[in-house]
Order: sequence, then C-alpha cells, then structure tokens
Amino acid sequence: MRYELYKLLKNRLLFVGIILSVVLTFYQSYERGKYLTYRYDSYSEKYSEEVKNELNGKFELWALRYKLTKKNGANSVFPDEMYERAGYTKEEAVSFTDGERQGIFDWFEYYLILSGRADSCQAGIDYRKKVVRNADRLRKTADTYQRRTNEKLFKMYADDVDYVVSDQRLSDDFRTQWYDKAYSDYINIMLVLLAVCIEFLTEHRNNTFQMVYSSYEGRGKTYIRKVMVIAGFTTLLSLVTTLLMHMRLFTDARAGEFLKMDFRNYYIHSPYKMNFLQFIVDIWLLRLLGYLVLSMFFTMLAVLSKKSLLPFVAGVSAGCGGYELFDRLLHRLGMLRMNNGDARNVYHTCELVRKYTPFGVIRQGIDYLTEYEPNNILGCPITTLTIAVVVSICYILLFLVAGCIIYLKRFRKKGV
Amino acid sequence: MLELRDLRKNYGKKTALAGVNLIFRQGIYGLLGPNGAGKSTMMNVIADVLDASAGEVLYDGQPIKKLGAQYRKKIAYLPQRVGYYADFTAEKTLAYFAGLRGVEKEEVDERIKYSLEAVNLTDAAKSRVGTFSGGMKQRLGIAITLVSDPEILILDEPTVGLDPKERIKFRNILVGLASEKTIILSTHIVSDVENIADQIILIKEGRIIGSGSKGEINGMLGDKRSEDTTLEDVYMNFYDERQEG
Repeated sequence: MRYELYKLLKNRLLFVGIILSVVLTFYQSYERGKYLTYRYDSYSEKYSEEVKNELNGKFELWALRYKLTKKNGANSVFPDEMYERAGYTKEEAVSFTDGERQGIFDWFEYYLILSGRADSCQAGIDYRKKVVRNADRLRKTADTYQRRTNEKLFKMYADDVDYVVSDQRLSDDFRTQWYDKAYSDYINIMLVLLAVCIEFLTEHRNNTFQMVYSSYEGRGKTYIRKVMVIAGFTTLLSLVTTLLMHMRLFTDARAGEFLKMDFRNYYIHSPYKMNFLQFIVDIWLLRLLGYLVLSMFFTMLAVLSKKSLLPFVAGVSAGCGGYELFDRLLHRLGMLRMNNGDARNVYHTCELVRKYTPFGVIRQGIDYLTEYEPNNILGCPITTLTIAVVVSICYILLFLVAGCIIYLKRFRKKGV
Repeated sequence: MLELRDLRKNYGKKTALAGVNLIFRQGIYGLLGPNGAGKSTMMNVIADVLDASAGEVLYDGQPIKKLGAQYRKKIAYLPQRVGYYADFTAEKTLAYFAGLRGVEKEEVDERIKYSLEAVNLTDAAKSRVGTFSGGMKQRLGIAITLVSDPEILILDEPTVGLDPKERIKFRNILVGLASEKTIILSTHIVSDVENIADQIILIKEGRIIGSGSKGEINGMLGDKRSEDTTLEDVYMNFYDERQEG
C-alpha cells in the first residue's frame, strides 16, 4: 500500500493543491475568527460605554417599533408619543405588511442580543428544562412544531423584553459562522478527484495498467489498496480542514466564549448538549462522510471512464457548479417560504446534512418526510441525521462495490 | 505448457483473433505480423488482461480463468510503450512490481539487483524514471519482467527504442533465460526473432498463417527459397503474396 500512497505523495500538482487548500482554509478561519471575536466583544464589557449606550438606545427603539407594529398590537391603543418616539404614525404602523413586521422583529432581536440583554435568561433555562422533560411529546410535524414555537416566542417577546430565547436569526447566524460553505471544500473536492485520477487513471495514460492488472496482486487487492489510500487521504483532508476551520476555538478564548453563548442559545430547543470536542468531531464526521461518498463516486467514474481524464474532470467541475446552483436556488425557495410566515426552517433544517453530502435532492426529500424533532443536533433532527448517515454509508458501499466490479470486469471485456 | 485453443476475440464487428490454436513450451517464440494483425490482442489475452470472446487459454491443461492469481504469479507481461510512474526511482518501480507479483520480501532486494544488472541500469537505480530516456525506460520494462523470475514472459515490442548494442545485450538475456522459461515475443524487428527465436509464428488478420522453426518457415516459400534467404525476405515475400492473393 505504501507505493500507492507514494504515488499520491510524490505528485506535485496534488501537493500544490493541498497547500492552496490549507492557505484558503486558514484565511477563512482567520476571517471567521475575526467576526467571532467582534461578536464576543459586543457581548462582553470590551465595548465602550458610548457604544453600549448606542446599542441600548437602538434596542429600545426597535423594541418599541416591534410592539407598535406587531399584529395584535395594531389593534391596541398606544399613546401618540410612543408612535412619535418610534418614528411612525399610527396609520403607518397598522398598515405594515407581514414582511415588514418580520424585518422589524429581526432588528429588534438583533439589538436585543447586541445590547447584552439576551445574556440573562432564567426563563430560557426553565424553558429548556421543559423541552428536555417533554421531548417525546413535543414531537410534531415540522410546520406545527415550528409554528407553536414561534407563537410562544413572539408572545414572550411581546410580554417581557427581559427574556430572549434564540430564534432562527441567531441560529442562522450561528450556522453562517460555523457551517457556512467553506470554499476550501470545493478545492478539497477537486483534490479528492485528483487523488482518484492519480491512483486509477494515470496507469491508463502511461500504459502501466496492463502490467499491474496482469500481476498476481493486480486485481481486487490493488483496487482495495488504492481505495484505502484515497479514503485515508480524504479522511486526513477533512480532518485538517475541520481543525483549521476551528483553530480559533483553541487559540482565542473569546471565540470559544462566543461559541459557548451560541451553544446555550441554540440548544434551548433541544434536550441535547454538546461540548467543543463533540462539536468538532460532529462537523468532521459529516464532512468526512460527504467527502467519502464523493471519493467513492469519483472512483467508480474513474474505473468506468478509463483514459478520458479531461471529460471526467470537466464533468465533475460541471457537477460542482450545478450543485452550487441547486444550493442557491434551494436557498431562495427556502427564504420565500419564510416570507410566507410558515416553516421558516424548510431550508435550514437539513442544511448541515445537505452541505456535506452530495445528494441534496434526496436529503431534501427526507426532510419533507421526516417529522420535526425537538431532539436535534444543531438544528438537524436526529432522525434526519441518522437517515442521512445511513444513506451516505449505503452510497459509499454501493460505489465501492460497483467500482470494484467495473474494475475487475469492464476492462477485460472492452479491451485496452 | 501454455495452449491456446480456438481463441477468438471480437471488438464489435471487427475480428481481432479468428480461432488461434497454438502450443507454447519452453523456449523463445517470435510473433511476427503487420500492424493490426492481432499480436497485441493475443498477448493481452494470454496475459489475462483481456477476456477472449471464445476459446480458452490453458496452462498445464487448466484454463487460466480457473487458475486466476496462481496463473498470473507465473507470468510477466510487458506491453507496448509503457510510461511508468515518473516520480518513482527505478529501484522503487521494481520494488512495486515485485510486491505486485508476489515476490517474497526477503528476496526482493536480490531480485531488484539482478534485474538492474541484467539490463545495465544499476547506476540509475536511484534516479527518477521521469528523467529516463526512451531506451532506458524500455530496459526498465524488461527489468520489471525479470524481477519476479516468471515462468512465462510476454513481451510486446520490447526492443523498440533500444540501440543496437542494447538490443544484442537484450537478446543475450533472453537466450540465457530461454532454457527454463517460455518467452513469447512480438516485434516488428524481424532480425530479433531471426536470431533468437526457437519458433516463429506468422499472424495476419487474426489468423496464424504459419508457424515453426526458422527452417520450417523458410520452407513455406517452396521454390522461391534460396541459400541467402533471410527471415525478413521470407516474411515480406510471404506477406506480399498473401496480400495480393
């Protein structure tokens, strides 16, 4: 196997690609870290009194606007001076559309968090206890569960602004920071593809294949060795990328503190908790699963396409572009649904799974078929996550076996 | 003993081998034929790289498909125009193929040394294959076939790119090996076959049109044969006649 590994390690193009991936990941991690520390600073005492006062002022303004413009508030009678302070006339406040109200709510929530008032939430702790206690009973369809949760949260905000429990906005922000598409993932996918080409297609290009194939161990054993080297490379790549992405957690205490805050807010809907290590392992495993599915798929294509290196690479690149397009389109559809006011996390619920597994359509299908669970890991219902993991493993095995059969049979039939 | 029994191979409508029957024992077999005659296809089938459309290859009376890896352990195949792994050194390339061919670990170093010496590449053992000339690559290919000490050597155009001195050395290596091995050699350089082959096989359009010792092949010319006739004359004459016919 060391010689198969040696083929990879000695390839200069792959080496340059790895360096590029590491640099890009490092840069993304740095940028992400900068944002995290900024966010932490906005929570902590590091901001000047002036900034804090400004944030508090903004918070008061948007809390007021929210009160005046929320649906049931439209029928309430408020003193004229309140409308004046909010910068609206009564007629304007009543005539706001649902979308505009949502926008006001988002700003209100944003300043609620930035002003630091979100940091003391005994009510949130109590709420979470209830979630844990009633986890099974709370299992509803996604729409029902989400609607009820939202109603409850809206009521809380309206009645008592001292309490906040994280809604979708903060969760989205959280995901954006920790899970958002890493562009180094695209480079890594191309690196996995390159590794597959080096292992399988180079031999066809230089005619060594017949020598390998006619040797004592040139069939199944060689295939397994090549696949193991590719899987090892993929594992290492996903691990290095994940660790680099999250190195700020280890090197900057403020980033770690911010994550803790987000964890607390995020897990308020879930009976589960997660520590840093579990969090990183979770992300790594999801990324690894996605990479492995892709690498085995590429392997199957490589043994199928034989010498056609260029169309193969072009096809995969087009596939990546298509996937990106699909992802963006889906995101738009998800946002449209959110504007309608229901199923706000149609897109986001399975974002994690879809991001690191290549078959978005299937994942999305599973999303619609699966009940929304309060039992979730970072917004991904455990049932969905389990199905996704099982389906991914099935894909890996399917591509592995199909690739092996093609490797052992197809070349022999078609000629060399 | 290797036997080809009614071996046929089709690529779609094109027939590459049309019922070949041959028996290979110890010694050197020179396969001669024009481009597209079916030489490489036959070699690929014997090397178990290609499946025959019909017929079978038998090793000591057993179909090679049945023997599988056990058969492949006994052969070494050198195809045409091999590029190898540019980043490997000659030594590493040989070690890789020794591993693939199931050479025992304790014998690997000795076999590598022997193979490199046999093709005069000892000095280049630590050099990257990517820096090798065409001739050196060709010699490396021969070294690869020798590294596992196989019973059957299948060599497809092995002397292409070798200078005359290297070709003579290569012939001597094969002659030295022929006493205990079966060597099947395909080449366009008729003089290679003429000088060293115990048996010569003429192939055209997937059919064996003649086989035997040099004398027997010359005898196929009948009245046209003279004392000065070389195998090249015979082959060209024979091929032209057949083409005209």
